[in-house]
Amino acid sequence: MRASEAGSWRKAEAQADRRRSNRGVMAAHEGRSGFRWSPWNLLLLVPLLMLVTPWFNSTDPVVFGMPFFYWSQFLWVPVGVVCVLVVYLRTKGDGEYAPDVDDRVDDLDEGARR
Amino acid sequence: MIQWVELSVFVVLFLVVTVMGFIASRWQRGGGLDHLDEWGLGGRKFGSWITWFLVGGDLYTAYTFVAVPALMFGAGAMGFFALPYTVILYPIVFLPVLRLWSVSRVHGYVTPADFVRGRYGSSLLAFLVAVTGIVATMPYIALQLVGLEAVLRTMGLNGTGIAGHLPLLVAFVILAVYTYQSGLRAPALIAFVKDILIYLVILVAVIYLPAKFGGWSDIFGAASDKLAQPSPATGKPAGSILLTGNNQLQYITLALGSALALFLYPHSLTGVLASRGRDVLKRNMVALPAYSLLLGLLALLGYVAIAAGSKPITNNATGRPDTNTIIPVLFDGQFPDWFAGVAFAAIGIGALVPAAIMSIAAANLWTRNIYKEYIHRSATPSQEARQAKLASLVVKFGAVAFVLFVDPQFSIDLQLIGGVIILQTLPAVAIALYTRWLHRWALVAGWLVGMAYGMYLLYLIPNPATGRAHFGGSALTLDKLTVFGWHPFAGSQVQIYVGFVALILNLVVAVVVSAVLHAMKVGNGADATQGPDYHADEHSKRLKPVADVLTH
Repeated sequence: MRASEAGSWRKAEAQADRRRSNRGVMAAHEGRSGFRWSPWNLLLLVPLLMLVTPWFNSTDPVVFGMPFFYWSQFLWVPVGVVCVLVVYLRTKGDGEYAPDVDDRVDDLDEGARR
Repeated sequence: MIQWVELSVFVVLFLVVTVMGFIASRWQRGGGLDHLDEWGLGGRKFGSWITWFLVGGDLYTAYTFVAVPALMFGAGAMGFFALPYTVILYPIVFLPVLRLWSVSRVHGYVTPADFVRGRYGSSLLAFLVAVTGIVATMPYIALQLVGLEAVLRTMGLNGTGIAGHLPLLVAFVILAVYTYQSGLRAPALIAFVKDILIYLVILVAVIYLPAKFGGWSDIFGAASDKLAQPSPATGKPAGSILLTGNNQLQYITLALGSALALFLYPHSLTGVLASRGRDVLKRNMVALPAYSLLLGLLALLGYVAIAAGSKPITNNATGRPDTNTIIPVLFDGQFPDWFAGVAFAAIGIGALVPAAIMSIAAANLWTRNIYKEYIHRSATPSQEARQAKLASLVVKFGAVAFVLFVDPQFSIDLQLIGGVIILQTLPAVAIALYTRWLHRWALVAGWLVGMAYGMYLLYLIPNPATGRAHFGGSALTLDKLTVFGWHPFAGSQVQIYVGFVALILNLVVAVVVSAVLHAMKVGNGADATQGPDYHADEHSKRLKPVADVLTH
C-alpha cells in the first residue's frame, strides 16, 4: 500500500469518527455482531402505524371523489419518505471509513469517475 | 385482429432495448466478464441513479403492474394492499440491507446463501437458503412471461396452441442471449428505458382516464356497484371498495409479510449488492417510494377499467378469460393506437428487466451455493462465471417451458407458494445479520417446520370463484387453522396471510430448539464475519477487491 493512500484512509477514518460522535451514533456497546444503535432509528417504526386499518377503513371524508380509505393511504407515502430521509441524514457516515470525498448527489456516469 | 400501429411501436421500442442490451456488455466495464462480480453484479459499483432504476425495475415488475389492478378489478379494496406493502417496505429493510451490503462487500459474498455459509459455517443451511431462493424465483420469472404475453395477446397475437406462444418465445430468446453476454449490466441499462416509459404511461393514464369517465367520484361509484353484485360462482359479492371485518387482518398481514419477504428474494439482493456503497443504498431507500406512489395510482386503474366496462380477453391457449389482460384492454380501448403501443412496450420491457435480474440471481445461487459447494469445489472464478451464464439460460428456458406446457394458472399458484416459502428464510438471513443466538440446527428445524406447515395451510385453501379445492389463494380463514387437529379459532371467518402464520411457527421452533441446543452446548459452527464487517463502507480497507479470487 502506498503511504499516501494509508494517509488518506487515516484521514477518512478520523473524519468518520468525528461525524459519528457529532451525530450521537453510539459505538460503545458494540458486541460480536457489531450492533450499533442510534435513537433516530426509532423513526423507522412510525410508518408501521399504517397497518392499523380501522383508522382509515371508511368512505368519508371523500376528497376529489376519492374515499378516505384510498387518499389517506397515499398520504403515508410522504410520511414514510420523511422518516427514512431523517434517519439517513442523521446517520450519514455511520459506515466504517466513510469516504472523505464530496457528498454531492452523484451523476449518471459516476461509475467512470473511480 | 392484429393491431398494426400498436405492434409497430412495440417492435421499435423492443428493438431499441435489444440494441442497448448488447451494448451494455461494454458499458462501464471494469475487467473481463469472466468473474461473477462483473457478470453477476455489474462490477459492484452502481451509483444512486443506476441503482434506483435497477432496483425499481426489479421490484416493480410487469406482473405487478398487470396483476395489482387486476386484483382491484376482481376483488376491490383488498388489492390496494400493494400500497401499504411498498410504504412500510423501506423503513423495515433500511438497516438490515445496509448490514448485508457491508458484510457481503467485505467477504465477497454474491448471494444471501453465501452470507449464511460464512455466518454459520454450514453448507447445509446455505443450501436450503439457495434452493428456497431458486424455487421461489422460477415461477416469478414465468409470471413475467405471463405479463408479457397478456400484452402480446391484446395486440392481436392471440394464436392457439404452441404457435400462439411463438412471439413470446422470440422475445425471450433475444433476452436470454443478451443477458448471457452482458450480465447484470443489460437489465441495468434497459431499466432506464423501462422506467421512463412506465412513468410516462401511468402519469398520462391517471390524469387522462379519470377525467374521461366523469372523475373519481363516478369511478368509485361504478366500482362499488359492480363489486357488490353477487358473483355467479359463489352467490356472494365479489368484493367491496372498503375492507370488511373479515379481510382486514389479511390486508395487514399480507402487506407486512410481503414487505418482509421482498428483500429475501435473491433478485432484490442482487440489485442491492451491485451498488457502490452504503450511502447509495440509503438514498435509494428514500427515493424508491416514488414507485410506490405510481403503483398506488396504477392500482386504481383497476376501478377505471370497471367504469370503462373493460372485459378481460379470453386466452386462446387456455380458453379462459384472463383478468391479467384488464389493463392492456383498458389502454387498448381508451388510448390512440400509437400511445397504447408505447404503453404495451412499457409493460413488455417491464417484464424483461426483472426476468433478466431474476435469472441472474438464480444463476448466482446455483453457481455459488450448489455447483461450487457440491459439484466442482475447485472451480476458478472464470469457471464460475461460465457456469452462471449457462445456468441463466437454463433458468430462462425453464420458465418459458413452464408457460408453454403448463397452465399459466400453475405459475400464479407457484408464485403464491414462492412468497410463503421465501419468508421462511427470514430467520437464517435477516435475523442472522444481527445475532447468532439462533442455532444453526434450530434454523434448519424452523425452516423445515415453517415450510411444511405453510404448504399444508395453502393446500387447505379452496377458491370457490374458480371452483378449485386446493391452493386457491393465500388468505386462510382462521376457522381452518389447525395445530395437530386442534382448531384454536373454530367458527371464525377472519382471514390471515398464510406466509405470516408459517413464519411465526418457524420463529417459535427456531427459538425453542436454539434454547435447547444452547443448554446442551451443541456447537454452533464457525463465524467467518466480525462486528466491524457489518459497517464497512466504500473505500474501507476491509473490503475485498472487486473481482478478486473468491474463497469461502
